[in-house]
Amino acid sequence: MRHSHRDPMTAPEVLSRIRTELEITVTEASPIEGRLAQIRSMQRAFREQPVGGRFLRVKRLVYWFTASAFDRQAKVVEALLNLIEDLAEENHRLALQLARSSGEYGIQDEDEGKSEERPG
Amino acid sequence: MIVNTCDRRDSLHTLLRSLEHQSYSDFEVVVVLGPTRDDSLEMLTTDFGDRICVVRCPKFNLSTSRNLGLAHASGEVVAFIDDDAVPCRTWMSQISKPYVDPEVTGVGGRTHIVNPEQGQIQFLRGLATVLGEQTDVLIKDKDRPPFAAPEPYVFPRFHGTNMSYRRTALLEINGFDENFEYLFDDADIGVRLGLENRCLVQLPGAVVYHAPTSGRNRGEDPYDLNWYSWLRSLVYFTLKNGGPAVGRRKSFSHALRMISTFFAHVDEVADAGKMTPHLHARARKMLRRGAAVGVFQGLFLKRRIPQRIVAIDRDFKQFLGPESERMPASPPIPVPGNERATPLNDKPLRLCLLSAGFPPADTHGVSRSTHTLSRGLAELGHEVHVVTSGRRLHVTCDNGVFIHEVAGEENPRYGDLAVRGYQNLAYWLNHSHAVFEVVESLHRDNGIQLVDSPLWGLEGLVTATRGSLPIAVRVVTSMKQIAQVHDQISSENDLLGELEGRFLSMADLIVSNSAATTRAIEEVYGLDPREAPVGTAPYGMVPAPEALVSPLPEHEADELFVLFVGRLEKRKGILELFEAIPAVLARHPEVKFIVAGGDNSREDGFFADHGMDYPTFFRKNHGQSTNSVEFTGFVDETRLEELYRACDLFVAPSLYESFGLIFLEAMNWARPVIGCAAGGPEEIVIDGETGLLVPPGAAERLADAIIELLTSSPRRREMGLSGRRRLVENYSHITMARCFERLYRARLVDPEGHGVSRSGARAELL
Repeated sequence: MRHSHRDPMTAPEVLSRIRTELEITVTEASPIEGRLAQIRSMQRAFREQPVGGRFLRVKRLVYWFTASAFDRQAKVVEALLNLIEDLAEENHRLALQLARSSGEYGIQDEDEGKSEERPG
Repeated sequence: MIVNTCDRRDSLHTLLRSLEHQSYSDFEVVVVLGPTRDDSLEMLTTDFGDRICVVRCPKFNLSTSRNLGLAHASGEVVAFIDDDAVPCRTWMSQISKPYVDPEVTGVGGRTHIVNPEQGQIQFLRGLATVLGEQTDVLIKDKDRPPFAAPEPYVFPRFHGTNMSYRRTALLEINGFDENFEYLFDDADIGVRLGLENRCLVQLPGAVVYHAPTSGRNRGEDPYDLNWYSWLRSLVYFTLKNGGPAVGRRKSFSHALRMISTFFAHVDEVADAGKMTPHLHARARKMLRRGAAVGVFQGLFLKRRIPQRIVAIDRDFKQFLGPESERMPASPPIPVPGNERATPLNDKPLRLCLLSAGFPPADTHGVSRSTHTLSRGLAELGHEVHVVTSGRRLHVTCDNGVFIHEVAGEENPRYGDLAVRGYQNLAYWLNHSHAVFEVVESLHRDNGIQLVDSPLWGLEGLVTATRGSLPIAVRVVTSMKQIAQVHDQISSENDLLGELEGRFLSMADLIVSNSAATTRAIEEVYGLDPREAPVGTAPYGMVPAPEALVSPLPEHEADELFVLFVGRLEKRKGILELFEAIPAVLARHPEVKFIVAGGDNSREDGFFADHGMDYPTFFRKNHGQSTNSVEFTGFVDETRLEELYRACDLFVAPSLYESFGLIFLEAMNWARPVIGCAAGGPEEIVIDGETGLLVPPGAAERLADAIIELLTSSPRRREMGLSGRRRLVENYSHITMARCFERLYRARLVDPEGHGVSRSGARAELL
C-alpha cells in the first residue's frame, strides 16, 4: 500500500506548523469582543438611566415625549453592533487564515533556502 | 463561603473535602444546616471540628438559610455553592480578583452538570428579566433570545451554586426574599441588584462541577420535580419584579402565559412517554396549586425580606488546616475508596490523561488502559481529568474521574494538510490542538501538574511542543511498528513514525508497559536507554468481584470452548490460529472455537492480497472445520465478559504484543491462557503455571499447546486460579496506578508539587 504525495512534508516542517498554530491560538483573544461588550453595557446603562443631573423632572418629561425615537435609535445601534461583531469575526477568521498560510510559506521558503529545520 | 444544606450528608462531605484544595487560602466556611434528618451535624463535628461555622436553620427554606449564612459570615465577600457541587481549584482565587474594583458588587462563574449520563453546561453567562425570563448559557450577546421585558429591565444573573457578592451590598438590600423557598432566589437577587445599577461580573473560567442529587425538591426521576415550587416562584417573581417595572397589567398577562406554558410542557413530556401517568397527574395538581398561590402572593402579599439582617460579630475561622493539602481529592461523584477522612502520605496529584477513545463508547486497548489507570489514580485520592474526543464543552464525572470531551473537527486548523494527502495527520493534529486548548484551561483553572499522553495518535504532541506542562508519554505498539508488521509503507506513515520519534524525544517521561516495549522503542526509535527518561509501569485491570468469578470445574465437560479475542489481523496471529484449528479438532472434535473481534483485513493489507476477509478465507481453506468455529465480529463489553466466563481456554497467538491486556482479562475470570513468547505476554504469563507460551508464528506448537490443555481439566482449573491470583497481586488497577504515581513523582513533579517540564526546551531543538 504505497501512497505518494506531490509535495512531501517532513517532521520539522510539521513541528514548525504546530508552532505557528500555537502562536495564533495564544493571540486569538480578540480585543474587539471586549470593546463591543463595553459599548453594549454603555448602551444598556443609557437605556436604564437616559437622563440625569439637574432639572431631572423636566428632562424626564422631555424624554417621555421623545422616548419612541430613542427606542428606534436603540434598535439601530443594536443592529450596528451585531454587524460590527459579525465583521470582527470575519476579519478575525481571515487574519487566522492569512497567518496560517504565511506560516506555511515561511516553511516552504526555508526548504528552498536549503535549510530543513527552523531554528529554535 | 456559605453552604446551605439539608439531608445531604455525603455530598456535603464531598464538597467540604474538595475545598481543602482551593488555591486561595484566606476563606472561612459557614454551613447552614436545615431541619436535616441525617447525621450531617455529627459528620461536620467529627471531620471538620472548629474549622467551620455551623448554623442551624429551623425552616426548609433556601432564602432563609442564605440570609442566616449572610448574618453569620465575617468575610468581605460571600460566595454561595450548593452542597452537591465542587469547585475547580482556582474558583475562589478567580472570583476574588474582580473585587479589587470597588464598583464590583458580584462575581459568578460557569457551571457544568457532570452526571455520567447527563453532562452539559448548566450555566455559562446568564441574564434575567423582571418578567422572570432567563437564559443560562449565553455564548454571545447577539445570540440572545428576544425577551418580552424591555431592554432596561434585562440584567445579568448568576447561578445559585456559583455566585458571590460583596456582603455589604446584600446587607443593604436586606438579603434574599424568603418567599423564594427553593428557586429563583438567585435571579431575584440579580434583578434587585440590577435595578440598583450594581456591577455584576461573570467569569467563564470560574468553574463549578455540579452533580445534582435527589432530595426533598428533586426525586430520582428527572421529571419528579417540585412543580409547585417552580411555578409559584416564577409567578411570584414576575408579579413582584415585573409589576413596578413594566406595569401590573403587562406582568400579569405575562404570568398567565407562563402558567399555560408550564401546563403545556408537562403534557408534552407525558405525551412523549417520558413521564409516568402518576407523575403527570401529580405534576398538574402541583402546578394548579403553584399558579394559584403564586398569583395570590405576587398580587397581595409583601416581599418576605428581613427588616434588617444583623451581622453576627464573631471571629474569622480559617478553613484550611495544616493537613488540608494532603487530603484526598474529592470529585463531585465520589469513587469508592477515597472518601476517607485521613490524610495521605503525600499531597495528591492533579493529573490530566489523554485518550481519544474512552469506555463505554470506545474499548480499544489505549482507551481501556487509560480508563483503568484513571480509575486507579482516583481511588488513590488524586484529582484526575481525562481529555477525550466527543462533544465540545462537555464534562462528565465517572468513577471519580472528570472526563472532558473535545471535538477537534469543530475548528479544523490543519485542513490544508488533508488537502495535501495527509488525512490521518490532519485529523490527529486537529484533535491534538483541541486537546491542547482544554489542557491549557485545566492548567489555568484546575492547576493540573502534568499531562500523560499515549504515543498512539500523537495526542499530546501540540501540548509537548508548547512545553508549558511536563508530559509523560505512554508507549504501546506504535504506528511505526504496526506499519512495519503490516507492510503499510506510505509517505504519511513514514511521517507519522518520524513524528512519534520526535514526540518521544520531547517527553519528560516515557512510560513503557513492559521490558519488551522498552526494548522495542529503543530499537525502533533509536533512543539511547541511558539518556531517555524511560520508566516501566505494567498495565492492570479492575479485578472482578470474587463472588462473580467461577473457576473451571475439575471434571471433564462434554463440550469445550476455546476463545480468541482481538482484531482479525496478521499481527494478532489469526492465520496461525486458523492453521492450528484443524489439528486440534482432529484430536478433540467436541471443541468449539469462538473468534471474537472485528475483521481488519482491509487495514492490514490482507484483503488487497487475497481478495477476501479473514472469516471467508477460513471458510474457503478449512471448510471441514467451519461448523466448529464461530466468528462473532466486534462484541460489546457485556458480551465479551460473558465469553470470558463461558470459555475453557483463552488463546491469543499474537506475533507481537507490547503488553497484552487480553491475557489479564482472561486471568481476571480465572481462565488459563495460551500466548506467544513475544513481547508483553512473556512477562504476564508464567509458562506452565498460569498458561502456556509458544514461539510466535509456530502453528503446530500452538495446536500442541491447545491440545495439551484441553486434555486435562484439573490443570486448566489450577492454571486459571493461579492466573487470577497473579492478576489480583500484580496487575490490579491500584498496582498500576501506584507504579505510575511513583514515576510521576520521581520525574515530573518537584517536592513542592510544581510540574517540571523540559519538553518545551526539547521541542525548540527539534
